[in-house]
Amino acid sequence: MYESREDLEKVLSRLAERIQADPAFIEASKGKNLVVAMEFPDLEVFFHTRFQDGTVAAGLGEPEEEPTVELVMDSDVFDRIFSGKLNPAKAAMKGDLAFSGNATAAMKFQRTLSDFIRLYQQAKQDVGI
Amino acid sequence: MSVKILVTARFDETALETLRRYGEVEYAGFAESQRVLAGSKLVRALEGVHVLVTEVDQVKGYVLKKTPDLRVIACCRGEPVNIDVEAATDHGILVLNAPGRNGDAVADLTLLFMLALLRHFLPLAAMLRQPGDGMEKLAHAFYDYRGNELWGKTVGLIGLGAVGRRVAQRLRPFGARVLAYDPYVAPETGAEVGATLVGLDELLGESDIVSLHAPLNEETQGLIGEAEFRKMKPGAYFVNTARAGLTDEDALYRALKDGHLAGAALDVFLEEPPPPDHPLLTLPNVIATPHIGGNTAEVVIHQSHIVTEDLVRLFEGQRPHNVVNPEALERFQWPQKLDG
Repeated sequence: MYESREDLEKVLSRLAERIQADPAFIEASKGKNLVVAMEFPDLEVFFHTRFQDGTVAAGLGEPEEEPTVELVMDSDVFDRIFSGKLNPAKAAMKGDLAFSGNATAAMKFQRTLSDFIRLYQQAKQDVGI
Repeated sequence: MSVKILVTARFDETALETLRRYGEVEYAGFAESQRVLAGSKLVRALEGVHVLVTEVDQVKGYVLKKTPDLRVIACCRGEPVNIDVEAATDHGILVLNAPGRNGDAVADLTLLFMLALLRHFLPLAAMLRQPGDGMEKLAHAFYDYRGNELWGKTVGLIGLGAVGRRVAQRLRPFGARVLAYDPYVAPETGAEVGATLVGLDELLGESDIVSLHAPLNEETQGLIGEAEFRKMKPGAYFVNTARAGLTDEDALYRALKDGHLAGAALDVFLEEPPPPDHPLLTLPNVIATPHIGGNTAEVVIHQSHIVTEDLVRLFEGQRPHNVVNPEALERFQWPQKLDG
């Protein structure tokens, strides 16, 4: 899907901007304190999202603190999951998605999946990918 | 300098003690840490490590490119699905596995399923908790839920590998007749565990209970479909503790719904976990569990000792029993700085 690290970083940067400004994400962050880190080892790219009681911060790179939830997947797996084409549970069962961390927190994060998918699709359109 | 061993699998303490006689062991079990290692974290964890004993970490090719010290991956699973075996072989890394680690656990569950189906265990176990007249319940249980014994029944096992053989052994003292279909097993092997090897059609037509114990691969995908379910005896039971992909779930649903089969017990589904409105879960004659076959405390002991035995063999210059990539074994060597 992604031909280069730069393509993925462009989309993720735009995604970060959208996440931080999205009312649904801000609402979902209320009462939460968790950090979700993603790694895309095939392109050596990192992305993180921090939910902190009413504020959301997202960006490229590894988070400064130990993440509550960590997801490691190739960029094409990420694209299929966040395009709604691949069930993350199935990807994990097949070994295409490695999940680490607090399972309860992960469930909370999973509730934002539909919003994540929406914003990811918009971000791709924004950068023309 | 000694061999450095990183153990991230769930592991038995006595097996760890054995490994400590051969090298410097770091234990960081994933169950305790709730961390599955993958990507850059796995690369960092493997710095200077010669042996990785793993169960769930994602050991992909791009990780192996960056772990020059790694010589052996001992995977505590029957199928090393979390390891890129081809990449490991390319890098000269030996991959060991733990076949049969959950053989006893799955065989136990299979027997539980068979007995629960024959004795209508689930509805009867629920009955006393339901409101209603006690004597009526007693009569209902006595007249409508009379069970059957395994004694004198014919049980057909499809697949006579590590699990199938253990199921056959467990059936022997119940007085059941055991048939088995496995094109890769010799009749003598079947005889050793009290099973008679037959063709698939014969097994389906004669068995009161058919139980699956085959691996899922191109050859076995969809092995039991509409035609095969219809070849089963009317009123027979079906048990699957292996893989859902061996069957056609829709065909199984039809065979249960129209009463051709009396019941089924399933630990595996095409979609896991199956949604609550999954057609098979709507049937009262289906026992369903969420893929718990290998989920026992003892599986940790089994897997620990299977891979430790092979690692000890390797440390002592012998050939391990369970090598996934024998081509890597031919050119296997410990780093020269470890020698002597």
